[in-house]
Amino acid sequence: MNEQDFELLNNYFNGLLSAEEAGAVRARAATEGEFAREFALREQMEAFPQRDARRRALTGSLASVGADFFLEKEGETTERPALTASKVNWRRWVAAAASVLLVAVAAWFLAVPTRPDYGQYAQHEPLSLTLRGVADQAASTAEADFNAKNYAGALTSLEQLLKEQPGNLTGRLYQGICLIELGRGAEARAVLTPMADGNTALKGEAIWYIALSYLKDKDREGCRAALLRLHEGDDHYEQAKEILKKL
Amino acid sequence: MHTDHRYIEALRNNDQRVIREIYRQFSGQALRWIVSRGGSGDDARDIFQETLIAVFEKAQNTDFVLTCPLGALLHVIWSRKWIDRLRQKGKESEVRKEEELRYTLEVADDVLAIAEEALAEQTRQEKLAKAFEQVSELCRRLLKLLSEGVAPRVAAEELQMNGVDTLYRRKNACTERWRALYLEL
Repeated sequence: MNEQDFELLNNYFNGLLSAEEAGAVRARAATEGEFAREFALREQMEAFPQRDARRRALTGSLASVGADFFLEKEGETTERPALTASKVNWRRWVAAAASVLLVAVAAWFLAVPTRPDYGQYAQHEPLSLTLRGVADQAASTAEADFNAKNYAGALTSLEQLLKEQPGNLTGRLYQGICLIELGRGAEARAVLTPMADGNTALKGEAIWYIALSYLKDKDREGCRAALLRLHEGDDHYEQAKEILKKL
Repeated sequence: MHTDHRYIEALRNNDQRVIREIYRQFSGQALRWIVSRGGSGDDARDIFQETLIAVFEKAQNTDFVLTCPLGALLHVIWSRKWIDRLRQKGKESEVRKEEELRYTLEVADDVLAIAEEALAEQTRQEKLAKAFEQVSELCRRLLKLLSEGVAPRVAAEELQMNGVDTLYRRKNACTERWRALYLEL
């Protein structure tokens, strides 16, 4: 790039070139590396003020909408419709029942599982506590044990951690998961219920795991009641709808 | 074209109804992901917003068509932004851990490529904006007027310049100064 090239770009972007000259500039911008980079930068600079105005308008919208979805402290979405139990049109159901009877019988004989199963839905995210700034022995052990599915070991470490940090929500949630995995559903629910009833970032997770604890205990009504507390937008909403259909 | 491309159009057009849908659909995941790493609700809100702005920057290329699920793209971008935030706070050991985790995640190449381009474009725009703030008030007014499509003669009058030639000379000088500031960043 020399001075003449810069002058040429100035004239191009000021609209001072003939159509032929402007075409020649675009042709160079398509083939010459350095000239192309400079041309692209100048294009961005020309467009910048308008783009900046659009960005500012969008930022305003995002801030406004975001305020509805992230509360100041823990963050929780608002005014979302709750899951509702499906209304059953009985007449239609009776008519449909006859036509699906054969399929149902076939499914029965093929032993196709139709009931939702805890194991099918118990896909836990790996535990990660050390980024919370508590990279002590208990947190590291809890992570390693939990991620290796040693739930008894993880539970011991988590309980130790929670003595020092009773407000550690992630630790509390995973304590509940460990208890579920160890077949101690009632204790898990006792741990998770305050989170599920509160307004924390992990509220939806707590409700989901309470539902799974009931599912594991084969308490269909308990599971159903918990799932109905999930809202559209919650991470497990779609899975909850799926289970509700099967229950 | 992926069906989520409608979200790209919403960001291009500042369509608040669909933007609300984006938040409803994806903000919970971002919140949970960031809070599980020790971030706050405020961190999550800011990072999610910056993530959407990055997608907006990519979407300013009118040829851009979304070919992957938006959720996958957002996830890659907010995780990079979280790493940047840790780095800014000097939490190097946590940065290393997140970087290691990054390589264990299976992310489709096209998602990664779009995310990289979006982040690069956002950085470029931020630098342009920063440099733009450093040029004179007169330069900013002049460049804004011309960018808005105001006729050069009218802009010259508005800025009390002798004529269009003076306006262009001033514009060239402003552009040169702005470019130099940008390249210094």
